[in-house]
Order: sequence, then structure tokens, then C-alpha cells
Amino acid sequence: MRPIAQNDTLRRVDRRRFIGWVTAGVVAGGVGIGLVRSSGYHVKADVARKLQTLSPWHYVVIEAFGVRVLAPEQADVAGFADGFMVGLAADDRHDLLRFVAYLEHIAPLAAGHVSRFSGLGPVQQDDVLRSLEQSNVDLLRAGFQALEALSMMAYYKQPASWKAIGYDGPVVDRGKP
Amino acid sequence: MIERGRDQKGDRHIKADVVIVGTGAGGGMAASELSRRGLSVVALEEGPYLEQEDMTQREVDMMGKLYQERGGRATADMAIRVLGGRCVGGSTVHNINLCKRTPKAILDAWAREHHVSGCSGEEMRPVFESVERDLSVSEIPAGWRNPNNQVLERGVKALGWKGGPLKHNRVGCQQSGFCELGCPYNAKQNSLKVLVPDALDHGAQVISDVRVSRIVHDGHRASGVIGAALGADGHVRGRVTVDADAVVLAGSAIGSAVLGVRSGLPDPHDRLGRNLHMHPGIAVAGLFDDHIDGWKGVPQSYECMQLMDYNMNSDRRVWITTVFAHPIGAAVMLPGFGVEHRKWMRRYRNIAVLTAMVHDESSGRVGVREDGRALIDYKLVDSDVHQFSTGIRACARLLFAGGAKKVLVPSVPPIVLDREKQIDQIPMSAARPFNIQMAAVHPMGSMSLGDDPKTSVVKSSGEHHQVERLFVLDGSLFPTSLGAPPQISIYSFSRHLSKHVASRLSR
Repeated sequence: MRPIAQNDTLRRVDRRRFIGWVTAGVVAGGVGIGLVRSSGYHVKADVARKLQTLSPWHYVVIEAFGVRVLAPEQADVAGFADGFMVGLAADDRHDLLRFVAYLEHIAPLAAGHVSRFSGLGPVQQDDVLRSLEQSNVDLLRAGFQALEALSMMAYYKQPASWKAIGYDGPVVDRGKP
Repeated sequence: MIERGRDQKGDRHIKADVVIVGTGAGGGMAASELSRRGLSVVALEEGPYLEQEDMTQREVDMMGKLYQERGGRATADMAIRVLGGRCVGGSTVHNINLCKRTPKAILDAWAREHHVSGCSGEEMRPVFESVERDLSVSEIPAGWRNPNNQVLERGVKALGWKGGPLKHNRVGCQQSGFCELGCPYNAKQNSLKVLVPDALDHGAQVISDVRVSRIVHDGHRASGVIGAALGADGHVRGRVTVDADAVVLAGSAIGSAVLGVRSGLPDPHDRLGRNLHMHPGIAVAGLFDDHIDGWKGVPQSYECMQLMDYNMNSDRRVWITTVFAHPIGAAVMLPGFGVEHRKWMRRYRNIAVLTAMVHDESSGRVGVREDGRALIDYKLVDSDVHQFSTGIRACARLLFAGGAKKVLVPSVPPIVLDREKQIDQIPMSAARPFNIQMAAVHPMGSMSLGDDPKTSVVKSSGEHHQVERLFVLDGSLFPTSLGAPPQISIYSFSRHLSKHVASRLSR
């Protein structure tokens, strides 16, 4: 019985070591991937300095989202989102930022793309957005709709956007109707 | 003069006969009624006091000023957006002024099945009449019907369905079409314009920017409220304490229930916050050859009643009217993104939109989040999803009958119909939450009235079953969904039940 017990012990040690190596590997790999995936976000210094609710990488991801959602039009979606989120309850802000993290890191993988969202080309980004827009997971769709709404707000609040759709804007600006 | 809590320096202690929480249809009416009876009244409003020049008709700006949580409040699962007012005048400042009385069949059902006494059709009729007189309620003239409402009228008539013009409370309307963003012409005959000034004229004190955090009570009797004055930045400027002989909750079916839960009101039968109804609604769009310019003119001046039957357990519970949005609202509703979305927006002028609102059997619960905000737990039951499905098809039928070339059901994925024959192919799944955007603007019923404490929170007089001198005078009172816009019901029940507040204080 004794050799068997020794073998068991050895096997247990080996398994423990193996699990340890795997864990260390996963952690190291994760840290590496994390570093690669969370670095390289460039925001102009004067913009970064003024951010109230977004970190620079959030800013870059939301900007990339806005570019695709509004294409071919443009608006400062990330700048608008940063200001708008000041007025949100902390919990809501937190949820929205978690969705931004999902959009950047997980959604591309789920749609079959290895790169993070902000690093993808336009076609692949649209692919990711479509997968979120039509996701079977209700919360992902809700997250997409929330960011989409922020993009639409950023764009259509600008009087310059109204002419193309034939909207003549507030009547108060023109005096009594 | 309305005092602004945002200008408060330090703490404040006030004594009054009655303190009213909220200044919308229920609170404004209660302030007017009770101050007219010679009682000293303090009305507290969480939101700001806005004047005509504050109404800029700009969506982002006004959503932040007029609506709870900047218009972003939603059910806990985020399936339904729940809009509510947050300014002096409450939701009456941003509503579309629709005026319909509580249907008689609903009042009868409340008496019969919910033990509500003293509020029959006969008893309420003179109250409705007086409220309609005071708020200058009248039918929108046919000449004021904008093209979006003309589409609905044409559709109703072409199909031979039941429908007709709606009544509003507006005087001096400039037909600018920005009603949901507040009226810069002061044409709404609402709580802000009619009732709050009347209360002030009779000595009431109205203070904006005060968030009430708690009702003071000992489990048997209410004696005031405690809150905080908030600066424009949302930070606390000072504590506000009101000692009063009676407390009136009028902060909406969401706000009043949240305050009740937060205050630890006795709730032996687990009724507080339950029984929430909301009239959830969806929108369906029609594309026309001609310009509709749906944002212009008086909104919601015509209705379709073909699918509405107020009798209990009816399987016709859909109310259809028009709805239109300014660019942001429209952009959020229209499907797709990028070039696809832009194509729809380029047709903005040619789009008419109808809404199907469900007289809901679904019943939710109002609770409190960790951060003190409302937690709205509300899930649609299958029978209501079925009503939505019926409503979507009916809207499509009306739009085609009204001349639409295409109909868009803005579901995920979007459904575009080229001809009427395709309507029956709209899948039931299009009507499910998350598959189509839903919004609710009529929360009701979270502190319902009735004589049986096992099934209601307040008595038929509006006084809390367990806590004396605590009254509820807002949409929280309604034991069921109304199936009609609630403002006249709220104004009327507040007027009708205010007499009980006064008589309680004279005892």
C-alpha cells in the first residue's frame, strides 16, 4: 500500500505543480495580454487633462464607437459622453463603463476578431457592433443602445446636423411663431 | 413667490399645517385646495423651478432640466424607459396636455373589486367637471390637427374604426410642437401655471430643489418630513426639516413609493410599492411621399379607440395615438447605425409615427436602490406582450390606411413592410421587451387606495391605513391601470380627497 501512497503523493505534487505552472502561465499571459490590450491609447494631452468621467482608454473606445455609429457623419461623441456622464448616478456610470470595457476587449473576440475594438478596421468594427445590436443577450443590446443614444445625442444636438434632415430647430430661436 | 432651495444657506426648520411632497398634478392640486381652506401649506419639489425663458426647446438641455435621471430612468432590467417629471409642476410641465377622465368602467371596477368607496362615477363627475373648467380643457380644433395626426384620422376613418379628437388643457398655444420639452409660451394650463400660483396666492410656501429623504413618523402618526436643499450641482446646501400636522405624498407612483419604503412605513400586508402599472408603449413609423414634419403643430390631437375596452379582463387593451420626436428622440428610435441609420434620418420629414400604449395587466414593484434611487421591478406578462403584438399590427394597418408607402417596426432586427398584406407576418417576437424599444410615461398604483388594508396601502380617503395624517394624493392611488392618460384622474382625485386632509386636521 505504501508505494501506492507515495505514488499518490507524487502525483498530487505533480498535479499541484502543474496547476501552479498553468496558473502562473495564465496570469503571466493575462498580464501580458492585458498590458498589450490596455496600452497604446493616445489622447491629446489637453483633451486628457479635461476628462471628468472617462479615462483616456474609455475615451478612445467611445470615440471609435461614435465614428462607426454616425458614419459618415462626425461628432465629438467621447467628449459629449464624458460631460454627460457627470450627471449620471455612480451606478449607472459604472455599468456604462463596464460595457465599454466589454465592447473593447470581449465583444471583438465573441465576433471572431482577435484585436481590441478600437484597433479593428471599420468593416470589422461594424461587424462587432452588429453582433451587439442583435445580440441574444438583452443586457448587451441595452448597452449598445445606451452608447448609441449618447452618439445620437452628441450628433443631433448640433444645429449643423439639422439641415440634412430638414429639421428647422427650436421655434423660440426665431421669435414667436 | 417660489423659493429656490438651491439658494439656501445652512439648515432650515419650518412649521406648517400640511407639508406636501411634490408639485405635479397631485401636489399642485393639494397645495391649492388646502391653502384655499386656510391651512398653512409647505410644498417641496425635488426639481428646479423653471421659468418661460428656461424652456429652450433643445432636447439634451430640457431632458436634463425636466426629467428624472435626465430621462434615463428605466426598469431594473433596462427593458422599459420610465419617464417622469422633476421640476416645479412635475410631469405636467412636459406632458402633452391630454385630458381624459377616469373611465367609468374603471371606477366601477375599483368600487367592486378593490373596495374603493366614495369615488364612483357619480361622485367623481362634478370633480372632473370642475377640474376641466379650472384647467380650461377643450377639444383640439380640427384645423389644428397636424399632418401626423391627420394620418391617424385618415387611417381610423378608412378602416371604419373607433376614434376621435382629443381634449387638451392649453390656452394661447402657438402650435410650436415642442410640448414634451416644456412650453416657452406658458400655454399649458397645468400645475405650474394654474395651481401653484393659486396656492401661493393663498399663502402656501413652495420650495424647489428640496429632496425629501424621509417621512417623520412613529409608526402610527406622521409629523413631518426631513430633506435636503440641493444646489444646481446636486450637492447639499443644507438640511430642510418641516414639522407638520399632516403629510401629503404627491411625488408620483415612483417617488412616493420610494419615499415610503425609505421611511420604513409600516407595511403589514406587503403592499407598499406593489401593484405598479405604467402604460408601456411602443412606436411604429410610416414612410410617406409627402412631408409630414411630425414635430410641428399640436401633438396627440387624435386617438384610435378600436382596440380599447375598459371592462376588466378585456382582451382589447391597446390605446393608439400619435407620437413624434425631435431629432435625438427619432434617431434613438430608428433602426441600425452608420449609413443605414442615416438613410432613415434623411427621410425624417416624411415619417409619421403612431404609438400603441397598453392598458397593462403586468404589475411591478417600486423599491429602493442602494444609492437611494428608485428600483423599478416590472416585467411584462405574456398577455401584455400579446397586446403589444396586436398594437403593432394595428398601427401598421392604420399607417397604410392613412397613406403610408412603407411601415417600419423598429424592432431588432427591424421589420419593413411594403404592403398591408405583410402585416400578418410580423412575428410575435417583435413585441417582446428588448426586441423593440419601450417607454412608459404613466406610472400608477404603487400605494393604491381601498378600504381593505390587506389589499391597499391607503384608505379610500387617501389616508394611510396604519399611519394617521399621512396621505397619498397622486397616481400612486390607482388600484389598476387607467387605460387613459392619467393627469385629469390625478388632478381630480387630489381635489376630491384633499377634503379628507382638511377634515382630519379639524378633528
